[in-house]
Formats: sequence, C-alpha cells, structure tokens
Amino acid sequence: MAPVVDANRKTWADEEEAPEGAGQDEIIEVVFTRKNEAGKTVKVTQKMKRTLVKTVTNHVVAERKKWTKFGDAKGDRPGPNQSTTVVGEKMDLKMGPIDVNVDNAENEGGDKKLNLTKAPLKCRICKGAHFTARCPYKDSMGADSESEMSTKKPEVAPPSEPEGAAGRPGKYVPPSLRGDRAAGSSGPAGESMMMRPRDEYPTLRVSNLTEDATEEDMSQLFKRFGRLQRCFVAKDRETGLCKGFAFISFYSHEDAQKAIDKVNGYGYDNLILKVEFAEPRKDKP
Amino acid sequence: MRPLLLHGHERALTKIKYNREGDLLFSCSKDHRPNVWYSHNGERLGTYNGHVGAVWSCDVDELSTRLLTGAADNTLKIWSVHGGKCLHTIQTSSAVRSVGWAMGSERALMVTDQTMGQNSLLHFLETPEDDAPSTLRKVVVSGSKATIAVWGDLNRYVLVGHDDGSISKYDPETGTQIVTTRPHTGTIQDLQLSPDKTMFITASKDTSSQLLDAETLRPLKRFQTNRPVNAAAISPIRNHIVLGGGQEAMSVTTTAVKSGQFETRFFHSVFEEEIGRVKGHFGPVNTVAFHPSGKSYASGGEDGYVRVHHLDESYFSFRYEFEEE
Repeated sequence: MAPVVDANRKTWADEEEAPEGAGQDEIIEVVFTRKNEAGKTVKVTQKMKRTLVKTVTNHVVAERKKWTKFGDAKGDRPGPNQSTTVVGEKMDLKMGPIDVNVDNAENEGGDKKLNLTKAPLKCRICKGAHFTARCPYKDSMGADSESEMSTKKPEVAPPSEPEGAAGRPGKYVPPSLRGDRAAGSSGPAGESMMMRPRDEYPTLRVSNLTEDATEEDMSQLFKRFGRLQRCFVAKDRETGLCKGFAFISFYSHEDAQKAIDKVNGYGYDNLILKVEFAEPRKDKP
Repeated sequence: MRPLLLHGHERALTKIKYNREGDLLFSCSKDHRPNVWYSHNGERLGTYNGHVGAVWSCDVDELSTRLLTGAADNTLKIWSVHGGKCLHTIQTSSAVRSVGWAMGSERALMVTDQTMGQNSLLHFLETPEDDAPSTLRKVVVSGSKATIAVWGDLNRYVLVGHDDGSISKYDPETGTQIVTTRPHTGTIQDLQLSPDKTMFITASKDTSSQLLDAETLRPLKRFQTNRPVNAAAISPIRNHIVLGGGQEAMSVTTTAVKSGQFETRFFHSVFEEEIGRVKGHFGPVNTVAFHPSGKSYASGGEDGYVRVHHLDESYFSFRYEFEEE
C-alpha cells in the first residue's frame, strides 16, 4: 500500500502549486491509478476539499520548525512519534471558586447517603419503621395487602402475570422484566445498574423557566451558592428548547438550602422562578 | 482539553522549561537525557546525551541557541540547542542543583549541593558565546543550603531559595548577601519570576506557596494547599497561579490514591482562592511551566510523563462577576 500513498501525495503536491488564491475553499479532484487485489489496474478518483488557513508565526520559530532531529529522536519522521507522544484523554477544567469544604464533603458523602436512605424507611405492610421483610405481621397481613392491590387494579394483576410475581420474594424474575419495574419508565431494562443513585446529592427542581434557559445560564445562576454536582435542563427533543424546568444538584445540603432561600421567587427572564427540593424518584407505583 | 502526553523519560521529571517564544519545551529528568519538544504538537525534536547522572535543572538562553544543564554527576554542561552537541563541560565537586542564564546570556549561575563535606556554593560563570566558560566567583551560601537560584531583573541581584524555607538575595557583583527572609518552614522547591520580574512565586514543602515582591522580599499573597507543593508558575496573561505537588514520592505507596492529590491546581492570585483542578498524573507533579503566551501550560511528574495542556476557551472566558473584560 505504501507506494499508493506516495503516488497520492505526489499528485496532491503538484496540484498545490497550480491554483493560487482563487478561493478560500476549493474542491480538488485527484485521479490516480493503482493495482487492486486481483492485480488489475484501476483508476481512482478522489475529491478533497482544501481550506486555506493563514497563520502568522515568528520568524525564528518558523526557522526552528525546519530543524532536523537529533539525539534519540534522530531519524524520526516529521510529525509526532507515536512512541513518545500520545494524545491523552479529555480532561475537564471547570473554572470556578472551589470550596475548600468540598474535599471534606466528598469524604462525608457516605454518611449523607445514609441519612437520606434512613428518612423514608417504612414498612409496606404495617407502616412501621422497619423493612418490609422484617415485619412481624408479614404472614398475617401480607396476604391482605396483596388482595387489596389486586382489587385496586384487577385488570393489571392477574395471578399468572410475572409482574405480580416480582413482588413476592424467592421467585426468579428475568432481568428484562425486573429492569422495567425498577427503573420505572425512564430507561431500558438493566440501565439502573449502571446509574449512580440520583438521590445521593441534594437536588433542586427549578421550574417556571423560559424556553431560552440553558444549562450554562443555570450553572451561572446557581454556582455562586456552592459547587454544583450536576446541572440538567429538561429540553424538548425536537426543538432543543427548554421545557420549563431544570434539576440542580449540589454537593452540600447547606448550599442547596441557601440557593432555595435566595432564588425561589426570583425574577428571571420575566418569569418568577420556583425552586424547591426535588422529590426523590418513586421506585414503586 | 486533551493534553499531550510526552513520554521521553524513563524516570521522574525534575524540570521543564519553555524557551522565550514558547515553541520549544525542554524537559529534564532523573534519567540522564534531557529532551526538547515542539510544544504545539508534542513532537520530540531531540535529546541531549552525555550526562551520567540525574539531571536536576536546565535553562535555555533567550536566543534558544544554548542550553544549560546541571546534573548529579557533578557537571554542568552547555549544549547547542540545535544538534544536541555538548559545547562545554564544567566539573564541580558536588551535584549541580540549579542552573540559570542571566539576561543577555553572557553570565550564568549554578548552585551546587552540600554533600560529601562540600559547602553549598553559588557559582557565577562568565559564558561568552564563542569561548569556553570561566568561573567568576564562588560564593559559600550562608545558613541553610541553597536549593534553587534565579537571576533577578537586569541581573542586579540573584534570588536564592534555601532548604529551611528562607529566601535570600545576593549581589552577583560582590557575592554578598543583601537581604534574607524566611516565609516558609519547609524546603523551597521552586521559585519562578513573573514575566515582568517584579514579583516571584515560591513553592514549598510546607504545603503552601507564596507570592513575594522581588525587590523587598515582602510576602504579597499566600496559597495554602493540603499537600507539599513542588512547583509553582505564574500565568503571563491572567491573574492566575498554577501549583503542582502531591504526596511525596517516598510515601505514595503507603497512602490512599484519593489522598495523594496529584492534581495541578489553579489559584486566583489576587483572591488566593482555588479556581480549578486538572487531574492526570499518577504521581506527584514535580515541575510546572506556563507557555509564554499563557495559552497553554505543561506539567512534569514523578510518573515520567510531561503533560502539555492547551487551555480551552472556557478557561479564558472564566471571570469573576466583578472582574472586567
């Protein structure tokens, strides 16, 4: 293949000198012949777009670009050598005041998570403050509540349907059905495994936004209260315009509370913003 | 921002330096071969082979024709930047810790280590362009040993950083100490002047970095971190400071990855407030340097990599609300 590339380069280089300053963008047609796998000569036509980019460089710098390589790099081809120069992964540099407490807050993240999960602990059978599985009335009342459910929605829960079975312990439910229940209607099956629990950080729901609101606007508005973990503006799928609400996650609860105090009822683009803590996502219907 | 990873060294980086125009980047490490790179695309231009010890420091002159390197093999070498030929070698009696060209490149300076019964010395050299260098003066550093030395504005003075955290100013003509202060309690690891040479930044093992006035050595600003600071640089265009550091290499294996904190940190130089972090190195950052245009910076780490970061638009558009355009 190497000679083919060379032939290509040559024609390109020859072309380069011919047209001068005709236009900024131009389409060049390159025609060359090469041998295909069967050994036959084929004519190849390539079209390429050429854009003229002008840069102004210091004279000595331009001079130095022509230097030959030396030392261990002697004999390297022009351009970066793959063995010494690699383009790294994308790095984010988010500029903004970094709260010194963030380091501590991140370490304490585990405790906070505990507190959040502790709050809504409630037995589904007797409404007591323990796990449903530990309920002392599990055997006596469990059947009742189930019959209650089936009377509520008789058309959805015929006894043979696997969805009803998922509630009962010990029975295998294929992940395809499980995922549907766990993640609600938000994503495909099994996705909930990949996602970090969203309730991990204190999240605000901002509503009554204008259509023009962007994530940048929101982060501009809220980052003064503390470091943001996430900033999400719900957008219309077709138009890409804001649907009128956004979710802002902070690292610390205090910052979130501060933001509510300050921004709730604040006039933004002719509208009065409504800011409140987002309700945790409901797992069960 | 996608950094360029330059892997030309097999051991920890000790110093990186841009030339005056910023098109070349010089790096030296504990392996014995300093490298030179094109800074815009990370292409390696060449290496300077000849040292037989860890290279502690390097400096390139203003015309980018001669390179100074100082190494643990008790030599200072002057190289031709293009071609990598060693022009001159000066033998000393202990390791060379720091080297620097004076403005105009007719004088140079090196710091030798206090080892093997030798005193820590400041050597002032005369380095004519077409002749062998000669030693003008050797000055015994009083007090704690010197770790780094740089020439001040118009070669009127030399700023010296010491092992005990003090900074002193020497007169290069007489070799006498003019003034000394002790802003830090740990070793001065790095000392870099601002482009206008009116102030300089220090990096110290006592986990802080300070901005000092170059004339009076008066502390102006202090940047506190929670790990040793190995390197500090001043942005030529913004009121920003970039600090590199991290857990000391010897204690890395005994601490958790998260507490290693090998990020490069950006501070606002007026408000002393941290404004950004860049991750990437797998070990402490030993040296940082800003491109003279201020549009990119490079860091060299204990992991043997140099990372060249061409800063994004978001970096330049960032401003405090009350800051003017």
